[in-house]
Amino acid sequence: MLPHLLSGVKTRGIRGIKHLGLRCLSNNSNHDTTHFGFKTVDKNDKEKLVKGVFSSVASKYDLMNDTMSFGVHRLWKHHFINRLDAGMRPGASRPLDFLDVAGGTGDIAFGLLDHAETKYNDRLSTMTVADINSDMLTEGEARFQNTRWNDGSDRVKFMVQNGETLEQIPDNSKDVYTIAFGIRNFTDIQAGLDQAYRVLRPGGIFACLEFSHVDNPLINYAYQAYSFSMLPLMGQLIANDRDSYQYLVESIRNFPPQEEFKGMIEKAGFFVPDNGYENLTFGVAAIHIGVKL
Amino acid sequence: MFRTSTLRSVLPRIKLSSGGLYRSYHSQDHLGSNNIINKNSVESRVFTKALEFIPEKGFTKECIYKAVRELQYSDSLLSIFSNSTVGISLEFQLVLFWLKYQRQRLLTYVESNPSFFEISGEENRVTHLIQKRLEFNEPVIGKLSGAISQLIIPYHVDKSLEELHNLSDDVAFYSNDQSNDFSWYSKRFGLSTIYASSEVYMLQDNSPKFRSTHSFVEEKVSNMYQLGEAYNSFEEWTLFNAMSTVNLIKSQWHRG
Repeated sequence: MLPHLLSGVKTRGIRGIKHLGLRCLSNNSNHDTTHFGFKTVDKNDKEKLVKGVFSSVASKYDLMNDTMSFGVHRLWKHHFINRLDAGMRPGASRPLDFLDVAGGTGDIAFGLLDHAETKYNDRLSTMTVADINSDMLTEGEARFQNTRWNDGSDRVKFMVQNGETLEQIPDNSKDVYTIAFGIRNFTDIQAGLDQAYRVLRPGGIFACLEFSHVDNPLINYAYQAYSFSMLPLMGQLIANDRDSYQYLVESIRNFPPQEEFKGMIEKAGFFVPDNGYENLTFGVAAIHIGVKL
Repeated sequence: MFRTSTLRSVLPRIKLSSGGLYRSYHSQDHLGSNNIINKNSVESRVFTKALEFIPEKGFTKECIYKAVRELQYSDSLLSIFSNSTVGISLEFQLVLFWLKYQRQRLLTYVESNPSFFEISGEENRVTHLIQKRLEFNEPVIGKLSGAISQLIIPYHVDKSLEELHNLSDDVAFYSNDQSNDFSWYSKRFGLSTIYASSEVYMLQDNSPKFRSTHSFVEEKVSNMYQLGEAYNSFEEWTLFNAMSTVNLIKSQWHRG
């Protein structure tokens, strides 16, 4: 079940904690390489490698998320949707256009639609779910068949799209761009942010829920020990796929810290309100917001 | 407890060389303490627009919705308000912004009216400023009770009191308050009480141009300063008598 492309990823287990230096090693890249977990790979390959990871985990994606985060990922997503509080307000001239990138299984997309409908009685706003991985998208489409939005109104669309190019999404065409636990896997995160800026209308909001970095050293120690030792093991036991979860943990470590990522959002052209991000569970995850003005 | 000492100079020390009002008890390096509102932020642009609709719609979120639409943004922009201030409703954010906005106006008024500094006596300057601040309430007077009911909700009280303290601190500061011991606290506490009670009085005031409110403020402020003077006189009298008693005992002691 493991794609051959992944076979190059070495399994490190708990030793990974001691390999903090590897971040510097892989940061020391020229323009043609990027991270794949702690491994430095050719830029052209990362897309395929990530695709391999998610194709192999697609069917057990939610089960694994629940086990590994003790269900907390659902609380994060719920909080994310409530914080965004998006929806067409009464008296608005036109519905909103949502775009959920890397939203394969659709939980954020359906959550947003549900929030808009129950809170603002918004039954018109549209949702586009984009994901680079057709296997994940198939999961989402299968779930969509049983939701109340599958009423022939064509409000929800699924499309295979690379978040770094979004070639089928026109400029200034969306109001809300969400990406939950996806931007980490981009080969070029800045390109992804630039595209988000391109497709949003003025007043549009960019919202990102992503793993981040724990500030408190004690909690961080426990968190790192848990994630480097337990997660790949659980991946092996439950999904029989250790390497994909090893990648997950390493990619979390390689993702830029809150302040740095905030800087990247601003660099893409967004206005970042107030302190710009909100830490969840001590910073294990963080919500970042940007506004296109 | 109030020190109503005569001012050393008529023009207060707060008028500094660079022309701005900088608080000497804050660092001179923190000039930002005078920027109550950051005019460039998108939040304040939306809220400033929303203030225009308060006389019509009251302190409601409809004002903010309308402001977002008037500024040609889509409804999605509203997400930054739910995101920025955790757990505070849109309505209360609007009320807080309104208070800050009026405080900024008061600062602008003081800075741009040199005649204000010609008013003699701290007491008169305080009265003048409180009356001025109450005048800013006039356009929304019919909707003001809505704002006050937001302010006194128990969850909001800490933020409301902070804003009220900031206002009385500003008023004391612009009036060149020289107090430096406990009177610093009691004076601000007194001003807060006066402001809050005057505002409630104003809600019921039907007199032309709110004249009753103005005289209400005058009376309350003068009471406060009289009380302060009475306390100071009493303190001085007690001190004098205590020292005299000690001296009397000492001299009797030496005579044997």
